[in-house]
Amino acid sequence: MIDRYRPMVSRDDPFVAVSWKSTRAFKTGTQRSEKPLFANKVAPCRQACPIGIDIPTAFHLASEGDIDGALRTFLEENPLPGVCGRVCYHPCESECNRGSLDEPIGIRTLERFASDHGKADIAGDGAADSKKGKIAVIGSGPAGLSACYHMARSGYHVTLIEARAELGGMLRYGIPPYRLPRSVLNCEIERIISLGITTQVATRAGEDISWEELRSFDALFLSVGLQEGRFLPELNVPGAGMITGLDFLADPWRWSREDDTNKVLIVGGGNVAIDAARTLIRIRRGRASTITVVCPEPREHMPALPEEIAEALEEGITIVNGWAPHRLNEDGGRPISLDFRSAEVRRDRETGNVEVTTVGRETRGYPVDMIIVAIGQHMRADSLPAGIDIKDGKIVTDQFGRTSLPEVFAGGDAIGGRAFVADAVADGKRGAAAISCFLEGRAIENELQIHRVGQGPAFSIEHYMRGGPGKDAGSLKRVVTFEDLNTLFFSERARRDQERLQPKVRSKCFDEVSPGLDPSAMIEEISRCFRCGICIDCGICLDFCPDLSIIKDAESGIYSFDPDYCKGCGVCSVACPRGIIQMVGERS
Amino acid sequence: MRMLITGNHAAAYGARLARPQVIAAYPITPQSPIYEKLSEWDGEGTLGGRMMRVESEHSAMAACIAASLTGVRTFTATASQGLALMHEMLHFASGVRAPIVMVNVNRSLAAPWSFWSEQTDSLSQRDTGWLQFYVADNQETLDTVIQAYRISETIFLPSMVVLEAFYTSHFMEPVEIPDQAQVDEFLPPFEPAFRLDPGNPAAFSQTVTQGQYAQFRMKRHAAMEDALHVAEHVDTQYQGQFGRGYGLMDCYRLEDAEVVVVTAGTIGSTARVAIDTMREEGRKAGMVRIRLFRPFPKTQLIEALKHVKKIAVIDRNLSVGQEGIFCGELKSALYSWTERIPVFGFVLGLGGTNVSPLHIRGALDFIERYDHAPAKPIFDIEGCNE
Repeated sequence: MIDRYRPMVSRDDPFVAVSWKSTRAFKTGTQRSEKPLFANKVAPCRQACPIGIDIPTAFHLASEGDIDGALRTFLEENPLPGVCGRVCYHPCESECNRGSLDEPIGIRTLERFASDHGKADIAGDGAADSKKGKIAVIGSGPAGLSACYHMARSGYHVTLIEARAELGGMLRYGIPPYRLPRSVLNCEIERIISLGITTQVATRAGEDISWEELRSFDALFLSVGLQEGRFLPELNVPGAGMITGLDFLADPWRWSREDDTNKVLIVGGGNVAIDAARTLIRIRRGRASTITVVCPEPREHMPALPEEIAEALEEGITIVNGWAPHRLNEDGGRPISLDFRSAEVRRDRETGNVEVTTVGRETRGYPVDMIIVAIGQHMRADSLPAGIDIKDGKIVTDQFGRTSLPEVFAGGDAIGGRAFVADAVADGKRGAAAISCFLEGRAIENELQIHRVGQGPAFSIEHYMRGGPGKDAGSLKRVVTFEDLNTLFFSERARRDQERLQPKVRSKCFDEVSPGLDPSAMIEEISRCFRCGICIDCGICLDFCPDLSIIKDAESGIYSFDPDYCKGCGVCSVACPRGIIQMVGERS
Repeated sequence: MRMLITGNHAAAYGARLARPQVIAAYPITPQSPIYEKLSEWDGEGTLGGRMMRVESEHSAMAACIAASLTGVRTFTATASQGLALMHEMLHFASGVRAPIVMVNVNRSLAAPWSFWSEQTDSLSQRDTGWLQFYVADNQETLDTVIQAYRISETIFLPSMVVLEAFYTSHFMEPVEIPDQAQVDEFLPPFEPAFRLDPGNPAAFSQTVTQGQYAQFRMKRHAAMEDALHVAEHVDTQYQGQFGRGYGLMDCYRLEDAEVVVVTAGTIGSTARVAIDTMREEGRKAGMVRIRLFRPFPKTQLIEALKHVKKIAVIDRNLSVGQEGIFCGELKSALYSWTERIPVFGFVLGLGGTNVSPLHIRGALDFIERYDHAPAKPIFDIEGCNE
């Protein structure tokens, strides 16, 4: 009976506003004043990398189990992932966005892991193009190898000239094998040479091959390095019992006694000093009692990498800070003791040059049988072509590595700057681009700007070689900050670091200090990476869009929005875990 | 089955007996035990329907509206700030004629912050097109929830069943829980008038012309008017089946009454005590407790009150700048009758303060002393503050 109060259900005269036509008639897009822009961005780790490696992509591929793809991503920018994965000072990790949540990702750990476990056949990339020029590279350290690699991949004919018997420069003659196993180095060099590079070892430029002959190449890249150690300027000319750190590291067995009866002082606070000390302790099978490192810098300002210093201390090496050599006491041409005075160190902010002054009259004497001097290196004066400008013992170049000679470019330690492998690799890359621009009539100034990674030091040579300005140049310019991320999708997890051999074990042998991260721990570490700034097709935006207006292209997998229905609410932009989507003005 | 339970749990039992298929709610004091009880049953697998976790009351109501349009029975519960947050969606619910049933536990609105009983939260939703039932005890809570589904699903308008913070929500009373089979017989499954098919979606509440809008508004008003008859009829049927009925209003010792208290909710229970005492003293006192506030039973109230000499309305609510809301509504209803009865407006019990039998007596004593009712609400009755 109460049903008589039930309203009439009639489609012609409904008691509620309802339409049976498609809701697609409502083009809610007209309400929009901002629109989402889907664009990959540069992660701060990549921006900080001197080589500009696309780190998030490497991590993303690795997270999908594609370790080969990860290795290839490293190899796009860096010919030496196995080397850098071990010895790099990893500025990327300091800038890692994850550091704002818990701890930075072990980026260097993955670079090494990919190099140790991945395979990448890049030989085919180096098909030489007969129309392209012939280049000579002088010196096969990291800068020279990098220049060779990138020029060969661009199709140039490259000849690599090396004065020593083997390729590798400081990588071979400066970095001890417990930090960089020779098998790894040889493998990486072999990969570079296999691109079709002609090599001439035991060939000193200017002696075994004349500069005139070398100048007949279309361009030259000088990466001659700083091959000679400096001696103590205040003290007598070296005699027996005093050698440079570089000479020592190049052939440590020649200079060492295996017992610990002779007292060795190592003067200097850089990596060479620490490497010399740690090499010597290994030759002495862990006996460290008579090995002492003395340097003027306080501990926290030593130029050596902090992790190297820490490992040296663990191995029992004594490091004395704040003292500079004052007087050498000799007996019959052999050193018997070295006196030190308290020291102050001043670093010139502009040039980076270090000035050491002694203060006070207090003297501290150390009895010595051998002194290893590791206070810096200089260039061999006769290793350069005539007429090239030199200042303060370094080749003068502009910011693109161009020397005073028109077709001669330079990089690496020989032009100054930071003396790390990654920086040398970056110099080689820049040299390759500068030479290619020079030979192809392009403006290097513009090219480096177009392909620059964010506001960082690096440019992307992969972008330069394959992309050109048309290939979403903006993706290299926008940097994704921690605030751009939606960290609600990430929970705190501890970083996985690689194990190291016990100091007692490792100090008796030249085995690599760290065996690398085991695969299960590596998988965990890989999964910690946010993969900032790259769309990984997670589909979160699809789930959150209240208007079902995000479109994923079935073939390409590329995301965009439907302008007919997107209201510009910005929910996708907030939801995106990786900072891909940003709201921009409707007309931009 | 008879159980000793709180008003909140009576609401939850009532809801479960109605077999809602979607429950979308957000916890808020003093309503949370309803949500918790339903969640507990959900966890045990004895709820029958689906609990939807939502991030706000606004979304809870939005979810109920969409679910209701697809043809499922829906339930939600809220209070105070939560109801205020729902406000926009309350208009939508009645506009799309979704017969949702919601329990609101009256609680004072901020600011300042407070948790106690006051009816201003639900009375502020007066014009949203929802039916509003004000109940006085736990049994009435359970019975009204079940009745509300039957009424709402007949006329296609949503219903709000209103309890009072802590007075009803947290007090335990013996409550008769009906058999499920009997409730199923009383309450057949819900059939929507215009079903939203997710596989082939239609657009509800799309833009309409001015004239169409006016038509839809008038249809909603007509349905509200019908609701008075439907509510009365459903209550009669319920009484026939379960032995309990309440009417649109609860009239107590009214036949020969000269001075009458008009109120709503738990104050009505208190008033019975005061009136019994006064009757023992030979005074002709009576009471009307309004149960259905929307639609407002105007003619029924005139019929019930036309013989009385003076009326004292006791409101546990306040329309700031005007007066108690039941008082204003009653005055408006009585204005269409030929005679004029003085209506005195008392605003007592704000913020959950106690309204005792002494207050009721005091109010009736007060109106006996004066011939004319003041235009302003009366907040204090001399000698009644304990």
